[in-house]
Amino acid sequence: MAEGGSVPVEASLNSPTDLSERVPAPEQGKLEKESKRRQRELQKLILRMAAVSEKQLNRHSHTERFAGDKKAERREEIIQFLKRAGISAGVGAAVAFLLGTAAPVAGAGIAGGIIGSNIGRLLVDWRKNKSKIGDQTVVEREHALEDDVVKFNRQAVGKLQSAAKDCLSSVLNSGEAGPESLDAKKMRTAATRIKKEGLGQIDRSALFGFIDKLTEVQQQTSEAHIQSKSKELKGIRRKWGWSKFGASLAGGLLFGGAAAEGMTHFQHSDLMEKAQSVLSERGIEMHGGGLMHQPGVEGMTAENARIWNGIYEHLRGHEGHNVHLHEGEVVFDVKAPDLDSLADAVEEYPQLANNIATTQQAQELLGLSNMLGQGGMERLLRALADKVEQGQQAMHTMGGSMTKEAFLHRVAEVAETQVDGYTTEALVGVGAGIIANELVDNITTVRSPRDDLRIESGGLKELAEAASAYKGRTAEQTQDASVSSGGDSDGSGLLNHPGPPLPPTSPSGAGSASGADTGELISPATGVKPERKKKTDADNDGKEVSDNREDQRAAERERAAREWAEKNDYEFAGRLPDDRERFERYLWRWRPLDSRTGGGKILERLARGFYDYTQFNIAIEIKGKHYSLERHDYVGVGSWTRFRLVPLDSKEKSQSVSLKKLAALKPEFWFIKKEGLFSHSAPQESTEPPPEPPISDNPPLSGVPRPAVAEAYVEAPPPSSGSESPDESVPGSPVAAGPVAALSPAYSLLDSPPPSDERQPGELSPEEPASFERANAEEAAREEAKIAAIDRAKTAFPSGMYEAQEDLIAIIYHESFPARGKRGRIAKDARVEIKGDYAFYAPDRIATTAFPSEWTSIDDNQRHTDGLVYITFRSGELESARRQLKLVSTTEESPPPVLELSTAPPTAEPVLAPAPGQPLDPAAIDVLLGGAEASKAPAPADQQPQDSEQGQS
Amino acid sequence: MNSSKIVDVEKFVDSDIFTLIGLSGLSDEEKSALKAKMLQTIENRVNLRLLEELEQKQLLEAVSDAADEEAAVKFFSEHAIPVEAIIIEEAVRYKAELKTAADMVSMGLTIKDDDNPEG
Repeated sequence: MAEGGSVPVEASLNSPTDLSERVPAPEQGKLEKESKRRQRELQKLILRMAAVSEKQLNRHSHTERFAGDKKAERREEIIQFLKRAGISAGVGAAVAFLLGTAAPVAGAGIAGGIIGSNIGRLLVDWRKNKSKIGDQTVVEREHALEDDVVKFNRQAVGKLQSAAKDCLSSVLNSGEAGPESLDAKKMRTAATRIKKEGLGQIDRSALFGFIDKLTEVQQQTSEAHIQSKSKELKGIRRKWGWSKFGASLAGGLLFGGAAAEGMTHFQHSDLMEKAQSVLSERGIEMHGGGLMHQPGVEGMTAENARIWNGIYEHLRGHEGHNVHLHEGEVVFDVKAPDLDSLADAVEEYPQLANNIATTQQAQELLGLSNMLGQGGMERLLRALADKVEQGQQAMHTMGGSMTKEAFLHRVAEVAETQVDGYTTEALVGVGAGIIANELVDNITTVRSPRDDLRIESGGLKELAEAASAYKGRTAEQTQDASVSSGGDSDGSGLLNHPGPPLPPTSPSGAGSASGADTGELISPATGVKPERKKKTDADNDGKEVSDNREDQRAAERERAAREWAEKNDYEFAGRLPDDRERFERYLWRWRPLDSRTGGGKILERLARGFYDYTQFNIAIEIKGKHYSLERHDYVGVGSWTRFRLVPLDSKEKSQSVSLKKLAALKPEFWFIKKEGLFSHSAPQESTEPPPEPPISDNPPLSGVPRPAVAEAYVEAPPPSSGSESPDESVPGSPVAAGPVAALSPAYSLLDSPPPSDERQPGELSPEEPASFERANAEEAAREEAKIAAIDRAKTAFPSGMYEAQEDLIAIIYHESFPARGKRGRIAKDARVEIKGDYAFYAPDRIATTAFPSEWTSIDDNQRHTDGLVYITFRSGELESARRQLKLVSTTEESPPPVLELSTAPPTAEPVLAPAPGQPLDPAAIDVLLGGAEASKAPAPADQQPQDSEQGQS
Repeated sequence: MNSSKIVDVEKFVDSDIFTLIGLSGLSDEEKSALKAKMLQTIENRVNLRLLEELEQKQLLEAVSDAADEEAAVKFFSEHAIPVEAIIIEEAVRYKAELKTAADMVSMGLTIKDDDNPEG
């Protein structure tokens, strides 16, 4: 018995911090440090608890009815009244008891009083738990379990814990990207590792330790998340922080029990005994487990209160029902009979459904209950769901609503979760519990004013995702299926567009690598492509819930993005893919259906320099912030392309980013300015040094100046709001020389060959601006033409690789295409076709010598990804190409035939130019195949030096 | 005896709280300061619960500042508000909370300063 404040306690009392008495000398320093840390933390906690209690008391509504001075006065009156009632004296006695400093007799008397009290439920429970379980008392059973844990291979526990941390880490590293970015492979690896460690040989009670630790890690994770919440939530945290500690621990224990018991075919009663015992040991159940009615909830009538009190009185009068008062609330503890009783009560008194909230523990118990096949909680929830529905209240999730059927379906899924394997069961147990937790939270969030419940659940998000990702990655959800079957339902063609066509992932892809082509569609909500894997029952519940939550969040973000767009004169254009590879492809290959954009690959052209100094009226959203996306500087294409991000929400400095960096920033949405996609602007003086081009296998040619890009545009007028309607431009006018002229190469490349009139290269006809619409309409025809060209090329080069692009109808390479990093010969059978605005060629040493750099560029990035080299032309280059390009075939077997292309004036009809959408002229094929007759005129002398200077090496 | 974490309830009840939570090494002055805080916490909680009891039973208006100590005790008794039981429950609850917290602190839990309501 305690006396004098220093009663020695046996080690079995599990004193957590008296390390100095038990630790070897060599580690004394460390332990002293640790001891001091613990002292510090506990002292902080004690002080905080005092402060919290003070605040709670002060915030109590008993003074709300009074105003001003009267309020404080009345409060003081009541407090004094309480003190006069001997409360302080009572507390003093309790503290004496608490501290162990009371005299033995007094202590025993108090203890006896406690045990005899109807309210001292903890001690009653303890007494009850001393009853026998089989041949063992509860305590003996506990010790046996503990021994099992002690005997457990601690190294394996460590590995288990490490694996758990890995799981969490993989989730944390995914940031806010959502479940699709979870490192499911890592999760599986971790789980596999656990299995391989032979943990299946271990007594299931060992999982207590594991789950305990797992929960601790989760708790810390939760702390980090909560910390990031607003200050508004801090108050709630302060109020409930300490109870969370216990709740978390309890969750771990319960989950561990659930998992363990799940493995042993749901031995319910045994588990419940253990859980109860351990909970009692931890003291958890003393501070608010179970379901409680909410006196503060709106709608809590006196009648309801009366009913609740009746229920309370009823329950506590029956053995097996645990119920007590907690801070004025009726708290029903975790035993199954209470759930049934409560369900009865709800069925009898439907209005009570609106006064029920659950604590985290109870929510966790949903998972436990279902894991055990115990119907009490489910029945209660079903009753709640019925009442909620009767009340015409949807069971709201954070961003939407869930039908009763869906809710019950998920509950059933949780209950039915069965996965082979010991460790799997553990993780699934955690996941199932938390998923259930989230489900209940979906109910309580709406009706409970106690946001802490929501926070508690939110803190478990990571673990839920981790567990669900672990077991859920093999499923294709119904939800995904519906996504896959969806389409451009709203006709916008943007958000629901199945995704941009992707560059081929293999040389033979030939443009068929888009998600649509491969039958893999992209979720309009997440912009990601679901994995198609084998579906199992166990896969559905966790992933569905986490995906559902992610979709909700995504929907909220999208709503916010749309609002922002509306307020800032932008149009919401859609969601960008959230992984880098797809994002890059998206930017490069984006093919909007919106006619305003010209129906082409706008960003690609932007990057490639078609729109020099043209303001690109696109904004993107990165983590809730908005930036205009401008081309920073022309340095080529692919990885050399840089953009400037100009903050729109603040006056922060703009930054120059590469495409890869831009992708890494994970922009989520993009917007097009309402005034039009383009507006012209003079080159902006950058305050930043020009970006250094990345190291490349194909560096820019030395000695070649940067192209004097679109000089004619520099003098152009400022951006015109009418740029969206280029029809207004008058050919030859300054306006036409501005943005419209900047577009002309694109038109000439994509929409139609230059007409054979007096127009100058790059100049639009009055009709051409209208080809925004026409471009879309003609695209199919162009595709057909490209396919036809490829077919012919295949005939000519059966060993080659073929690809069709918009800017290059086909690029044909010999199969000897070198591996990345090897500069040199690309193809023996090099051929170039200049056909109108299209070119075929495959020159030797393409990056260094064969072509003058000022009019060619190499998409080195794409070469890396799909094995092809793309050569693109910038504004005005084609005319130069016509004059300068020498087709070079540098086969070793034969001297390179030189084909000098047409030197016809720029306005002349290109030698091989087809009409838009028409197949190649047979003559072009002749050229393609090496015939020189089609274009024989020698290049002008003044165009030759570059060739001679650069020559071939 | 093994290092069982199982706590015997009677020892839990009887044990010195500072020993139970591993703060027995504190100086008497420190213990005294913490005791005061513990007392304050429990007192506040008890008062809060009693207030809620009074409110629930719509007795707040009946509280009189003129009541002496005996009258106050009688008042609670007459209205079936188990003051003593509440005190005991809160004391035990608090002790259990501290014990739980101590266990978790020993597992590495850190109390974040920015959550300090006093701060």
